[in-house]
Amino acid sequence: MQSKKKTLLRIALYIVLAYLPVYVLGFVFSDKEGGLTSALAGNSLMLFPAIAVIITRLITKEGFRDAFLGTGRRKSGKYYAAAVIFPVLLPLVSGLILHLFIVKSGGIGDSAFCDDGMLTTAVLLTAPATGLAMAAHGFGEELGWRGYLTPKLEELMPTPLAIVVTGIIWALWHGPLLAYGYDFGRDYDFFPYGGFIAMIVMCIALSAFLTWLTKRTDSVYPAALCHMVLDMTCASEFAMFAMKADGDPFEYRVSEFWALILSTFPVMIVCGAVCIILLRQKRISD
Amino acid sequence: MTGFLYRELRLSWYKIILFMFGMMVYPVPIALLMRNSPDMEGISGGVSALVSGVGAFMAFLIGGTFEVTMFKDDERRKWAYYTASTPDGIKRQIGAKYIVTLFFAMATVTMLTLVNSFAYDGNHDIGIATSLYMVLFYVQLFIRSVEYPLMVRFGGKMGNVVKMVLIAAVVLGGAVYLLFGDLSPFADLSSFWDRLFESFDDPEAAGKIALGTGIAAVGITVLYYLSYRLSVKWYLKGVDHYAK
Repeated sequence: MQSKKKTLLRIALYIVLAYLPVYVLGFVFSDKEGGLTSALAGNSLMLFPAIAVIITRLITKEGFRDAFLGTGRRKSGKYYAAAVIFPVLLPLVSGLILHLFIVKSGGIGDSAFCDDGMLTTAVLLTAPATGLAMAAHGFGEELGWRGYLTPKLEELMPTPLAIVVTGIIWALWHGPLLAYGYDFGRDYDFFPYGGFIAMIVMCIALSAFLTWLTKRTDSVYPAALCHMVLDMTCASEFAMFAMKADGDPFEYRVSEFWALILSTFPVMIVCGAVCIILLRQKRISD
Repeated sequence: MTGFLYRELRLSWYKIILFMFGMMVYPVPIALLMRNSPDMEGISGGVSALVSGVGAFMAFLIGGTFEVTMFKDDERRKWAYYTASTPDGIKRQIGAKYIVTLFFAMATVTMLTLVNSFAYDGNHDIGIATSLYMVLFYVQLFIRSVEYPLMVRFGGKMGNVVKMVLIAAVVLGGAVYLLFGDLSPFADLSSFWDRLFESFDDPEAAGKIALGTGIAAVGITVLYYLSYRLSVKWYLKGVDHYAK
């Protein structure tokens, strides 16, 4: 009982420290359209969960022994490969779904992605490369969410539930940005609540995949790499499927918000569900 | 590997902090100048990115000194043979150094991005130089990929000599080009930079540059891994070159 109370206090401390700077900066520097007026604030947001973990661990005197800072188990190479391949493949499959079911007129061959081979190859190569160079930002978030919050929640609940709760907390951490239209824009019904729900679903699914990477390797680095490559790749690749070669957007059967959700979420949700099943199986076999 | 990584950080923590501050000696004053000074009104867009690039180049140069020092610090026969006697000791020892180098370069990119953002907040006319930092990040990795195996194989001193010979060869190649090559792009130096920045605005040229950068980045990542494998292979051959 004492131990559970201690864990709850540690989680609360971490959440306050991670949320506080992001909410303050998010509201103070908001451009009211989902972005920030300060580039410095925008570029430092991702580092706050890591700073929160460091402060929490110093205050609680937990140390960094279980912080997943090591390079992990032997033969973790395939998980590092998965951390790069998944974010590159995700928009490709999403683009296919978009053109199979959602685009009203015109085929995938008319999209900017298929039109200019040189530009497509450049995006496919440059985005992951930039993700690697900027991976310290991804580390900033993953050290907090996957390296601290999920393991702490696992002390209180089963792993799948810990993943779901982490996903919700992680999604709401983006609150000040979402409230003004970050990621999903402002042009949809139930704004901004629809965006919050979409973000929660997305973060739960990604949380499952990133937790799976972290647990399989005993290291937070594959998740950090995956997070950053995803941030760099997803939007730029998907945008090339969403517009024609001349730069005009395709006409959709649904609104732009739903087009984005219906094309990208199925892959994320399936991947997240598979990861939760894999993590449960591993737990049972342990 | 984690143990060696921990050892590396434990032994070099003060150097890491010092070099982190040292690296920012150039970028921070440049950022302050570009952010506040009225003299900087004429410096905008590509030119400002170039000025930031000079600061970033210096930061990577200073950071590189730390990375090389980290390798040289372990040039002791006793330590090398002890490492080799442990299971997978060579792989782990070399791997830890390659990983610290990678992390250090990533941290440099992050710090430079923050400094550049700070400058941009004060003066929206200046360019965001993240792409330039990415290029410098890979240039850094490329240099280390070539340098580390040489240092492992021939020791720090001899490795430096071999490196200088390689650099001299490149400089000589450049000199030969300047003497006998096509110098028409540089004929009018006053408009050289304008033409260079204009070429970035041309979608086709920008696409070619992006493709080249992407291919080079992926190639250098592979080269970095191969360099690690080569360093592991050459480690024991290089021990004889160690002074003590």
